[in-house]
Amino acid sequence: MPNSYAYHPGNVAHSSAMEVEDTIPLISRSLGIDLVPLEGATSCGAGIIRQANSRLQLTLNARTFAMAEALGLEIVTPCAATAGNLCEDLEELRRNPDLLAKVNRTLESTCNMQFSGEMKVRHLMHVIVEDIGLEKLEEKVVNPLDFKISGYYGPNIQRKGACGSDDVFLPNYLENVIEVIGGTPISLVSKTQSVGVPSLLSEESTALKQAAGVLSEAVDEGAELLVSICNLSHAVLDIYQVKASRITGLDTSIPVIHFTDMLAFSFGHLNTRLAQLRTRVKVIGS
Amino acid sequence: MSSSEATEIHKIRDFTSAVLVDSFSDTLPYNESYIGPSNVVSLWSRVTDPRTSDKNRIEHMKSLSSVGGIKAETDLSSISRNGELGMKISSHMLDAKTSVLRDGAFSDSRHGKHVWWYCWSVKMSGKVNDAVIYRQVLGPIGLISNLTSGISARMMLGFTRTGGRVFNGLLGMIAPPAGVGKMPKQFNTPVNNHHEVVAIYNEIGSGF
Repeated sequence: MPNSYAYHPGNVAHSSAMEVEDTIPLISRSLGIDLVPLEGATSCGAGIIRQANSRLQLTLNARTFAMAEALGLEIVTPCAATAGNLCEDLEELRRNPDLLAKVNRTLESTCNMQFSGEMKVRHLMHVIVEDIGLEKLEEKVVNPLDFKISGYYGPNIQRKGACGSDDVFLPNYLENVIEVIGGTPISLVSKTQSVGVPSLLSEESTALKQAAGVLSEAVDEGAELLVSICNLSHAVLDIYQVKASRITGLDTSIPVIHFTDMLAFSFGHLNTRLAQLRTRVKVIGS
Repeated sequence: MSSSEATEIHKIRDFTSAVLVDSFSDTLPYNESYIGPSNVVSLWSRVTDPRTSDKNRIEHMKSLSSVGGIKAETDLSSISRNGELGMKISSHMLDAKTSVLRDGAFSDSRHGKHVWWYCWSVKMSGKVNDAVIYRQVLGPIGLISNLTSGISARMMLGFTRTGGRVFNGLLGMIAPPAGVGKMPKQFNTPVNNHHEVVAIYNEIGSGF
């Protein structure tokens, strides 16, 4: 099992998803893994830069790949959108040697870097399940999260080559983790459905209907808490849930936390925040 | 037209079931006006076909850039994850979207502005700047709408849900709501060797 990974925080951990930045150092310490920050890594493009110029997104991500390759480490990220976009671009570069050569020429002339394609991009959840193991994870649990918890994967990493050994269309890694940390997993049909993040500002009405579909299903199935493995989707499911309810008339009121929050709480970190979450689940709601 | 060119054009629409292709989209069930991936790709194949007349090409581009056209698809990743066919369809849809956005100079709709300002903000620091994107894409009316619809309130009151800090930096003290709760940062510190990012933009991403 590798002990060190190159860490890419995703697009919004520095900004509107600070809870991810707060909890990552805590869980890496508890799990005994070394997350080496890729200080020069750029945004993965979130599927948006490629809408303007796909070569630009590929080259920016190839620069990030080259940095990890120089360190001899796999890239790990807590954001499903970032993991999915990086995997997609990595796959495209591997599949197309001519494109890889062109991208390498640009990297050479602008950054004095080269990228061979010999590295991996993984989501933190896959590292935990496949490298660390659920048994070891169970040993680390101090505060079992005894809630009915639904997991949200999103579509980005649920593709061949990006989701490890988990099933592309019927994944269950997150449910396994939820069970190990003491929760009761409530599986959703819409757990891999998109909530329209790349078009949130331009196609807001549709994106919010998509988000409401996921949130209301969790509520209807009796979940008390929704956990997202994507920083961007987490922001939509949390910040926009009142507006999503107003647009659709559906009950979308459910607390939404990030995967790293859930792990940090169960490992005994940030107990005041866990107490606050318990109050939200039992009394306040969303 | 050479046979290889013709083959490439016909490969764009080389799917046996339009229903199957449409089922890849997570957007279609939520947007009645959206024409769906199969129609988008069919229109795009006609646009790229040199045998299509200029008049028809303009009409097809109009359909693609209409409210129910390619811009209505909210997330191509829901399509590209469906094996080889999904990858192929999403790749052609991406080409169509890029073409539509370039035709509008990234400024004729929220879609274009979103993409342009996203690219610009990454060039400026290497990181995305949500605050700039919200401001530029939504404009003053959109931001006021966010105030009244509870979006801004949930951003500001994010600390009540995460247990995190109320103020994130000095800006929260002197210019709230910036820097409060989960409000996105107004300013980003640049990534290490940020000049390399600018150099990449200058070489292949001019215009941002």
